[in-house]
Amino acid sequence: MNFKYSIRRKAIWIVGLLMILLIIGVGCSRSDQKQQVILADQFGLAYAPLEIMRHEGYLEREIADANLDLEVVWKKLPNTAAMREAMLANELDFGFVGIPPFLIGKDKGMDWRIVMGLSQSPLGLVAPQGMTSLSEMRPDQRILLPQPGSIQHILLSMYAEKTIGDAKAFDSQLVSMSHPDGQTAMMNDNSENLHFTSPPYLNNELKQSDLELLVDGETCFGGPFTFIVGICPERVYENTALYTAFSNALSKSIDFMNASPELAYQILLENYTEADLEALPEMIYTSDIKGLDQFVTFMHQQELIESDLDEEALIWH
Amino acid sequence: MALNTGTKKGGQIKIKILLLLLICLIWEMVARSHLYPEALFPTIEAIFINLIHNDSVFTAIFFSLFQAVMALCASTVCVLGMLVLSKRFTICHELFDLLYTLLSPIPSVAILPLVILWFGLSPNAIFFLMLHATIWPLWIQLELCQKRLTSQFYELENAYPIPLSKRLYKIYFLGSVPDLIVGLQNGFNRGWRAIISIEMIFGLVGTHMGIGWFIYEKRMLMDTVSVYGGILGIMLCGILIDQLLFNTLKKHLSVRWGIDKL
Repeated sequence: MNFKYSIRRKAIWIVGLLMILLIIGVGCSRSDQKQQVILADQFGLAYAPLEIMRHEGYLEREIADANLDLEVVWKKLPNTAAMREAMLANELDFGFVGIPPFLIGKDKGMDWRIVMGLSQSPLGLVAPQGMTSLSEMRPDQRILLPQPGSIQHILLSMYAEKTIGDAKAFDSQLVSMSHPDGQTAMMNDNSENLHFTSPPYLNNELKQSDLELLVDGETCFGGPFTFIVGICPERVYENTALYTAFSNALSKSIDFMNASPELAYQILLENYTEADLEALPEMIYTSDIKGLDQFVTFMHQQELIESDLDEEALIWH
Repeated sequence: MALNTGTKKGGQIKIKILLLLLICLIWEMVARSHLYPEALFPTIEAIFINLIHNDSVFTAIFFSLFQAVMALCASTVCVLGMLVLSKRFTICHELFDLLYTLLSPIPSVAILPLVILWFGLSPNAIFFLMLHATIWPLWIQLELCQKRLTSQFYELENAYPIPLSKRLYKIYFLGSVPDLIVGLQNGFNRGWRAIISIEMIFGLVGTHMGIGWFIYEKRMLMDTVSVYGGILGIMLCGILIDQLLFNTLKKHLSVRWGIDKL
């Protein structure tokens, strides 16, 4: 009997030790690989300068000029949450996200800040024809958008507050869907759904005769705003050589988009169709950041973020 | 003998509790060592406090549970209809058998894109998927049971003129209760997992928020503690229903019906 128990006790200790080793091991698994700099973006025309950066090899050149021995790795991530999690796990150095998800992460204690702005984009809420206001929404209708806390969700809340007086009025009617899936749903079931989306999906949907734009992003926001910003955590910022190389490469890519739009168009054709690129002239690529304060104020009011973040603490200088 | 099994069982439970405490201890040590950011590894205390204070977890669980139970009820009615049909018409039996073979291996999430095309983004779509998830385990269990009962009582039924109502109640209903419980348990297990995955992937809900959507939303808002709270909620709910409700029922029935192995 005693013998049996001592075996059991040993087994418990061994299981415990194994678990500790496993947990520690997971954290150390990447240490022996070649040094990498990992960048991630998402789908859509708002990320076009990054295609240029990739195609022209700007970052690789800047890194070589700074005498850094780093391999550049690009990743496509489906949403900002994945980007946040990758950055927390030290699997991502530079990311590109909308301002609201960035603020949510910052508020929850992530040590990331904005490197620079990337793009402004026309956004819009597409609705079945004949609908003139959100107050006409039936309870069985759904609003499709990428995810709760996304820029589309915040803009919708801003518009709901302006028109109905309740920012959370439509929160129970949201369906979380990627832009391409949302587009498919709109094409098939267009009398039931509304879709808050961005180019090229916005333009594709508006070509359908029974869909029309209910409200655009700037009307919701009350002025122009930056759609996507480039961000990095403190550990990357402290690596001054890498940080400078990246911000130089990004500035060059944005300048390229503005200086030679025809060349940029040709490069983008490798990954987009001509129909997708019809919306390109409406996009604005600039490193300026617009509307940051207004997002902070609104999200603070709506208790989506707890602290009233100061603009100085949001941007690397 | 009975005493011996009792002590053995008591010992097993003790070891399980000890192991659980050990897991909690390791978790707490890692959480407090700040080896990982707090957003990845919150303390157990924070998770429990969040679970207790955040009653929306329970509303969400009840909503998902309600949907799973509704689908299970609908499936039971459907399966009973299918059984009657398959007993009457051989062609129906062959059809249901074929459908079972073809459809039962498909997880609900796999046909989700198709169902959205058929039904749109409506509660009907969820209901259809849940029906698909729950109906097949129930069907196979009850169909086997029907076959067994027919072969067991075939001669009795032929030898004595038992009225239909009595035959249905005494032989088929009472005889199938244990299988019904097992079928319901399997159906519930599949349905419960299906509803959570569907909600997490598409956030396709009615006017209320289910537990899958709850976890998804909290992940997007980077509320990791609530995500852990939601997962803990699912775990507790699963234990409560699967282990306590169904297993107790089965244990009770195995004494009542004199069946040892269920």
